[in-house]
Amino acid sequence: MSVTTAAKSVPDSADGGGIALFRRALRSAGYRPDRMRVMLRSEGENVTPRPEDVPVVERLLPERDRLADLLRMFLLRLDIPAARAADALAPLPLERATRMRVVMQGGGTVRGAIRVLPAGEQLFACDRELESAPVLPADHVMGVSSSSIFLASLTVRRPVGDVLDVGCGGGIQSVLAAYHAKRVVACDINPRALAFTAFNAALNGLTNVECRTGSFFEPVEGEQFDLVVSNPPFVISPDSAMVFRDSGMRGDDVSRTVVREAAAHLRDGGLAFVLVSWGIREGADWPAPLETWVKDTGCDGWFLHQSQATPLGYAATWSEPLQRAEAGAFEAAIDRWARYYRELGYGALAYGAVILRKRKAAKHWTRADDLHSLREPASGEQIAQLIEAEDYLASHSDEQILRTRFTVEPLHRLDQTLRVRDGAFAVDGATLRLETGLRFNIAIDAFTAELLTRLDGRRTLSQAATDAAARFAGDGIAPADFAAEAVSVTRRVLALGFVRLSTR
Amino acid sequence: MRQEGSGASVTLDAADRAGIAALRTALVSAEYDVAHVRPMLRGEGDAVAPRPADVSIIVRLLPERGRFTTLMRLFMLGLEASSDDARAALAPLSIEGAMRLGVLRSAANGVVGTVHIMPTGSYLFASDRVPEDWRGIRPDHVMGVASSSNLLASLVVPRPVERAVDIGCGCGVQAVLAARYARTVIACDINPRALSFTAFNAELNGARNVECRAGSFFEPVAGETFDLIVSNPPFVISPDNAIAFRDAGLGGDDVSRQVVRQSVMHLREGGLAFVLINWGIGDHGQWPDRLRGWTADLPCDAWYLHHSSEAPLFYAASWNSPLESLSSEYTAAIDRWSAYLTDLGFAGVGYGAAILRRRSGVANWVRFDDLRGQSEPASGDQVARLIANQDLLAGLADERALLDARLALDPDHRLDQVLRWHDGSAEVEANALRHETGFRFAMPVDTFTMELIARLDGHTLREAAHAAAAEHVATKAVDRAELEAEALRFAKMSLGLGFTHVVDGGHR
Repeated sequence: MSVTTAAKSVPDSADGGGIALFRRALRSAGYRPDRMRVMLRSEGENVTPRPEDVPVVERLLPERDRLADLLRMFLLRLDIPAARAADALAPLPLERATRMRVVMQGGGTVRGAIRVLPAGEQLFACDRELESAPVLPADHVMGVSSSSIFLASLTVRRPVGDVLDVGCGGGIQSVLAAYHAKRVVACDINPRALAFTAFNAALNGLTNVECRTGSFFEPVEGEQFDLVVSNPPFVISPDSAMVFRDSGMRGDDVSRTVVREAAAHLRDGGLAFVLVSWGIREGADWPAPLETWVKDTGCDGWFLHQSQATPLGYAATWSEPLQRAEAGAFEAAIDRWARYYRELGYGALAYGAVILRKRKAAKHWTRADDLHSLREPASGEQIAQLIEAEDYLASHSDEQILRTRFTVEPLHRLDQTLRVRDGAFAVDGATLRLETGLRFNIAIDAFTAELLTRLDGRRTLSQAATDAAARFAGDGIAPADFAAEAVSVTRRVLALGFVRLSTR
Repeated sequence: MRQEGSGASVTLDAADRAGIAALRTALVSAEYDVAHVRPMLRGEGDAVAPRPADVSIIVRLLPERGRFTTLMRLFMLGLEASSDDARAALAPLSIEGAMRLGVLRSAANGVVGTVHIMPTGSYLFASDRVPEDWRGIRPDHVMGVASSSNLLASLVVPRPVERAVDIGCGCGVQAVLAARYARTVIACDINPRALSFTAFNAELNGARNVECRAGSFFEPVAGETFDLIVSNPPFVISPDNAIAFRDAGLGGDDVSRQVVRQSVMHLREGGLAFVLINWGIGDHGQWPDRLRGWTADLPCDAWYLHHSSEAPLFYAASWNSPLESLSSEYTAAIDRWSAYLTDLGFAGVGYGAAILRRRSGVANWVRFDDLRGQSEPASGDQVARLIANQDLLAGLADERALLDARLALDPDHRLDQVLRWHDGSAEVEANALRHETGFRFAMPVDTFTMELIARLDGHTLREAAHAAAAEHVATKAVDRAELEAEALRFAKMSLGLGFTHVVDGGHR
């Protein structure tokens, strides 16, 4: 087809009326995750099919269907006849959509100039090129990715004043925060990213997102915020070709810098959520570098470990698109990257998130959780509750905890495995599991199982421990040992959210 | 760095026993085995061969030099090695010896392997290298160990037999594995290259009781009967006829049906056949519908296993996925395949296995099990136990006889319990018995059944039921008939799923 390709175009965020019509077109056709999933038969969090699956998906789409035609234009990157495009875009006139650089026209056919992806109930425009392409322009603006969904799911969604989104890209975090914030300041060094952010704020009907151009925290020098979110170009690489991926800083300096700067820009009581990637030296534990990052920042620090790879595995994952480039490009990249990690002394490279909370205190807590690659929807409220649990644990002695009443949280299950032994079923193992958010699980022993059934909100922990211990009378264990064990168990299950302080 | 494609004219010399023994010595002494090779392969454990991008990674994970590295380059990765490295790695086999054997040829900077060698269990199987570009695949390509071969091998009941046959033997995986149990194995394939690989692999694994015969399906064994039949036929339902190992060209699901039916005709009384199959599923139909007619008129018990099914478009897409990078050929192929399947009236295509046992002069049973979602290997021992239980259940003149039988719980079991907190106490929400090996059947159980199971040992079913009722507080004076009916329901279900077996009694 002959389509005039506008070089480096961005959609026009100034035509507010046009954007509202575009939103109406998308919404009225059912351009929503649930409807899209059904029509595309997609599974998992990502609705976008792999490029090689597009021929299959294309054959599943109905003819003469507005949603199908919008998906062809804005998700599958397929061309459609102009008349059908006009129908699909109504009430937005085709000519106006073209002027807005939402679509491109040529030779009687129309193609999307942007992609439009859903995240939750919101819609986000991004560049038409796929991130899996072997080569991308340096100022490419990414769509909704697994990392943006991960960050969004961690963020505590409570009403908040001023929010800062550093390295906003297409504005996903900014838009999601704008729903529960007075004001969002979105910063990016890439002016195209800010144009998309402004467009996406308007596309979702928001007016409280302010866009500022500049590197990292430069545009907000001296300002402070109640919530900082950042999905920075955290990839550790010797390259600096793509703004959205490579920072050009050495090693994991970009993640460290964003974490420390975020802390510096937080008001007292404020929270920061930063996606990070960091190098781990041979023989070191994964939280070790992160501990040094948050030291002396005036913040409590919570480290979430999502995944980890060998230097070669990390290089291969991030260089995957080069497998489709010219012969030898992939091999050259993984050799160059792996060599770089050896020079840095990294035995492994990890990916995860750092959560900070600014607090005036003599001593701050840190905690580290390995999420074992579990990706779960919305856990912001759970994170807020667990921060409160950490605060409680850090400020109470074992004696105080023994005098306190706890209640078991109903939102979890106990999985037991039993086998027949000597003519009866006997428990071979028991695991507590959370069923929502960060799906923590913990293997428990018989005493813990007994103790938990007695945390009824009426008894103190000390009483519950005594009652549970009665089941083990004759085992020759001193009451003080049961009390000590009860405190240690309670500290663990409270930190994981299986029990909470009783409100009775 | 380029991988070698499908060997243009690989011919193996299976008669060179000394050469093959030397190759085996080289591979084994360099630890070219499952424990060392499999961890190097990325992705699924049953991958036929590493993808080109993975080759780049694997070669970087290997030690720079060494015999294992060289053998991986030659026989797994399709990369060249210097003559000096190859000489050291292949010893006691010489380079010239390896070339005479047909597993090595000269290349620009040394030598390269002409075959792919995959360790499986304690075995080694040579096959053709997987071509980078499927357009270049030979019609007589000989495939290596695939997930389907592992599935079929795991079903086979491990019992000593006299005569076995492998129909469509390919590189000989099933024939070589069957040689453990059978005095003689006949391996048949229409593709002479497949037979040369089979003969080579039999020798490579020390199986001297495998006899190769060329011919279509059962032709080479016309008039002969067997105790064991294994077959991984070209079961794909396709309009194409290009690749021998995939397309049989018979039309529809006739290949699978024919092999199943012919297997029964070639079984001795009591003999077992294991056949991988594909079959059509009609619109609004159930997966067993077409299968019911396949063996209804034959003197055999039949057991059909359903592993997965796909709609025509997805079936077409998965079997043509090697063409993905060639967009116009790919889309043309999926359109042609989808149209073919739709014309046949298939709304889906099932994939699974048929287990057949010849048994004349009795009322035969047929059984269907849906194993969708299970990816673990089957267990031939479990298959044997389930067949025995099926015989027992099918042969009961009066099921109440089971009340006087003594049942035993299979040691391969566990009870999974899910508890949830309600008002301060953990309440049981679900209880299910599960197998830990083989087919992962699950059977929900209630507290009465738990008590019953715990009392099976040494008692008749009736005694266990009454003892359990006495113990079971929630059961308020249930009447005797109801209790025994409940016990019988449990017995039939647990026997059918193999959680229990009869120790004595119960037979009529």
